[in-house]
Amino acid sequence: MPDPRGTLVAEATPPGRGSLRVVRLSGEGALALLRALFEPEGFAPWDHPRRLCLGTIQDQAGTAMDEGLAVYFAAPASFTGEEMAEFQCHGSPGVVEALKAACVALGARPALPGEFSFRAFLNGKLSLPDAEAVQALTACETALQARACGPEAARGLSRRAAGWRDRLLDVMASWEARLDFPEDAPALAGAERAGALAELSAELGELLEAAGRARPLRRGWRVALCGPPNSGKSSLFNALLQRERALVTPHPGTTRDVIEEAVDLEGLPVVLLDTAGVRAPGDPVEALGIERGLAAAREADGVLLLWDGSRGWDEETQRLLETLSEKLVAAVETRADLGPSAGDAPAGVPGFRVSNTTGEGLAALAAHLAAWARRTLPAGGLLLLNDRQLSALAEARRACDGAEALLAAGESEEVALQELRAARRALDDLLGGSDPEALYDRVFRAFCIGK
Amino acid sequence: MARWDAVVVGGGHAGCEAARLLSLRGLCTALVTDRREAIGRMSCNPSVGGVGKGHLVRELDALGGLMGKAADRTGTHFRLLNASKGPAVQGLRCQSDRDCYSRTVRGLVEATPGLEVLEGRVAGLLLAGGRAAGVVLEGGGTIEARAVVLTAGTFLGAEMHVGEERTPGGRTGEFAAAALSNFLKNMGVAMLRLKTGTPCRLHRDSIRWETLERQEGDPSPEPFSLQSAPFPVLPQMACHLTRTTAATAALVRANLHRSPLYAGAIRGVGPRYCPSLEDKVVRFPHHETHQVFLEPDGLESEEVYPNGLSTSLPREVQEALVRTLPGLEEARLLRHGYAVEYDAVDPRQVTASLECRAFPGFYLAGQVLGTTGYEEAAALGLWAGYNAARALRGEPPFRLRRDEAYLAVLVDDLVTRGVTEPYRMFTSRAEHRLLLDRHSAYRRLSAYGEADGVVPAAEAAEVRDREAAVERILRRLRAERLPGTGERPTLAAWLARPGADPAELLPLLSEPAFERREVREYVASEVKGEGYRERERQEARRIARAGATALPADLAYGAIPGLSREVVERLTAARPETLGQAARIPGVTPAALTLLRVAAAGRGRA
Ligand SMILES: Nc1nc2c(ncn2[C@@H]2O[C@H](COP(=O)(O)OP(=O)(O)OP(=O)(O)O)[C@@H](O)[C@H]2O)c(=O)[nH]1
Ligand SMILES: [Mg+2]
Repeated sequence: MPDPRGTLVAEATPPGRGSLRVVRLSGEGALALLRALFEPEGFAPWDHPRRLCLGTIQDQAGTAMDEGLAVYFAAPASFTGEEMAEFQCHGSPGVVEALKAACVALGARPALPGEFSFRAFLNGKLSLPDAEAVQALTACETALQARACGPEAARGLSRRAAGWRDRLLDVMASWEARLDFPEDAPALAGAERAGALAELSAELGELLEAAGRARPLRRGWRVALCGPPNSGKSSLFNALLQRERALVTPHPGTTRDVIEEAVDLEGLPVVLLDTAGVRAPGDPVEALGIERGLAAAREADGVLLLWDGSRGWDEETQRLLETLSEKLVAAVETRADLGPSAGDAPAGVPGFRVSNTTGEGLAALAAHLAAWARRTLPAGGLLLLNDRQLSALAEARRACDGAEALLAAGESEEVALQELRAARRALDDLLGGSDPEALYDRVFRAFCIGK
Repeated sequence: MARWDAVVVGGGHAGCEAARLLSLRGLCTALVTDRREAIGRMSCNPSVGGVGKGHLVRELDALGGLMGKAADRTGTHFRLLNASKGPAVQGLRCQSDRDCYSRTVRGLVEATPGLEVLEGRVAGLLLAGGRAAGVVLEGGGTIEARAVVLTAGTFLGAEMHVGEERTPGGRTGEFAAAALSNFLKNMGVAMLRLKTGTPCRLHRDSIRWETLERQEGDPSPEPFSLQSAPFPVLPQMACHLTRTTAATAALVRANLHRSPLYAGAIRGVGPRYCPSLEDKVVRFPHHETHQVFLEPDGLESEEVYPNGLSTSLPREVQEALVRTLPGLEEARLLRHGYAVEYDAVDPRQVTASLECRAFPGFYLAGQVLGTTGYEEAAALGLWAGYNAARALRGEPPFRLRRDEAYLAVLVDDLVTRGVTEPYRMFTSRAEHRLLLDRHSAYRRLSAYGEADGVVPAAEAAEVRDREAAVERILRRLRAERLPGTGERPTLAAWLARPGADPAELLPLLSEPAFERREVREYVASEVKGEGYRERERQEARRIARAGATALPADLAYGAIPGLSREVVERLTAARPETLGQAARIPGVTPAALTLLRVAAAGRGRA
């Protein structure tokens, strides 16, 4: 865990905002550093918190480095809840490096990735899911990923989980009330005891299922390029990546091992796998390569089956189609630039005709891949959960189901409540703890306890 | 050299347990009380136990306390609550003969060797070098002692309210310890203002009993103390049930402006689980009716206690109000109900020994620490007694884990979390309640009582014999199978099924101990809950590991960056001994715990 003390410095340039570069400070020393490194031209940022002020950015010796803006946020009204300052300059990377160096010379420490959000979490500015969202954002490569794990989605998760915890506490309160105050609270009928739980479990299940289906969004959809040797797999791989990543030669059997690379298709992360061409192997090494390629195809989310249009759809290709048909996203005919095909793919196979050399047909293929990926996503809102969130929600669901099962088996509430306590702990872990008194607030609100 | 080792201030349920414990440990102990006859008095309803509270009484008994035995000897109506649920939440409760109970307790106290009862009113504490050195009496006398245990109940700065009337005092006809309360405040002890209430009392002969629903006690009741024999001692009596009506609610509403609770005369916070009639009507307007139990005050007594009618409305309203209940149309009041406001000490100022952090040697126990109920008071008294005795004898403090006893839950909740309303024990307060059923109390705790020499050897031997018998029977149940052919489950597997009656195994076992019902129930409880209890034990170990990190006693919370001022205040007030304790303080967030862990680790390195 990072040290919660000290003043942090980092470049926090927002993506896609042109040449503007931002250096951010957080911690007790932020104000002193700002005063030392910024010479205001009019309003001083420290007199006008939250307001952008014009001035000169200088080094610790007072030598001017750049014209720029600065803004000061007084604790606790800042993103991290601490004293914060930001410099905005238009300067070169050199200026930014020099500015950071000056901050470090004056006692700041370069921030670790996500450390600002960690501070915000410590100071109660972000809930755990929010903080994780900010961290996840820094790791997001595509726009859709960013949307699915961004603060808005995280707030959605926090809201829903808080709602579940509320309802769980209601169930627990009514059971506990009947155990601790048997003379005051009327006994519950079996159906009433379990009904609310069943609903809760069903909702948790839905979310988990959707999260499962959204999983490719986190790690990317894995698509294997398969086909006979020399069919143009490595060439297509490179063409979709738009760089020469895989080795391409006129000799069949060039690719020996699986290589994978991520590509952004219309905001969706797709991982392409280039594989060895499939044929009767010439040597044991090639045999091994072919086996690996087929294994990769079996584990992938989808497969593109490539065939050389100038040679036609042959038996080897047909056999491959049969082994991989379940995963088939499309059959791709290459060498469209070399004139009409020598034979057609069987009817019913979604086909594309491309040229890796001219780029013909590639856009349509990419669009098809993206559409295929999108179709596998859950219909409702997108939500990317990290492992901690997934396991907390799964544990909450398991425990709700466990409690129901115990009641159904004739156990009394205090035994089933052991499970509900586990469910509560799981949701507490997800959201940050809750006060034990929250239970009693409910008990005494809902029941007239005390003779 | 002080004449006394310890002086206990107050002769209520906490004071009696504390004083007796100290004497049993061979310490020369004085119990100072305003009036000798008030020792062991039940100031509210004549009843002991309940769910959670009954568990406490069993634990007290295992540790050498007197409450269970006193209740068994004086009970006129015993019931096992939650009998249809599992053993962990079953609670024993009894009605006692009020006069008989206090006589019995007083007899036990006075018969304790080395324990002397002195009459007097304590006005302050004697201090020597920052340590408690005895007490100062009203009128100027002093009692010197090496340790002081204050169990002043609801008497500190107490004031009673009935309608617009206000009288100083903690109980009808008794005094208010105003001087002592002021003394503590002047010493800088932080106080809370709390409130409790009690219903009016009815004349037995003015109630139309024949029209009311009768509630009998259990036909063959179980005692609180397994040492109680013969049992029961007194003839058994019935309770009766009636209910408030729409007319009751209307009367309450019409006179709400004259209730000190609603007219603003009372500032103190009352317990939500023991609401006054005014509270019930205001907070639950949709409830047409509320139950009222008519509890006999004793065999000879003319008094009847209408449990559920706690009120501080003006006297004439109380009289009219009672008559709106079926069966009470002609009821005569012997005494009126009232509310009492009193000062309590913020329990976060005492250590887990119940010793005041600011004044070593000064212990507090009972309602003065913000609890409610005889059982909670007695439990704290006993705990303070154990710790004061050990400190006086130079032994390590007495501690139990939260998964070991309700007593530990009680003490830990109080000293780490503090209170916002009078604290009462519920089973739900124990995170490992499946481990804390009443059957296993002796196994869990008797050894401590024996080690400290406060449980008589004969009693300890009896406990050990019973435990050995239970162990042996459990072994046999797991090894032996049902007779017959085909699939023959073990006897344990058979007994584990819901609804299986252990008595049916009697012919198969021929174990004399198994003939005793409490042993059969103990065995059945062990067999049925084993899987769940094992999980609880694992969970308890996990929590213990996670919370084991010790927090230095002098940790400067204000100097830890990132902790909010509110969290710093709470940590400084409660001074948790471990990270686990800190986690139980309200408002201490996971983020704050992370910071504490870092701070503690940093100190560990330095
Ligand atoms: N004209 C033309 N040539 C192509 C096209 N695609 C691939 N080639 C050529 O075909 C040859 C083989 O291409 P690769 O991409 O290496 O084929 P591969 O399927 O990866 O072959 P292996 O790795 O051996 O299985 C190279 O010389 C490529 O330049 C295409 O669309 N048009
Ligand atoms: Mg290749």
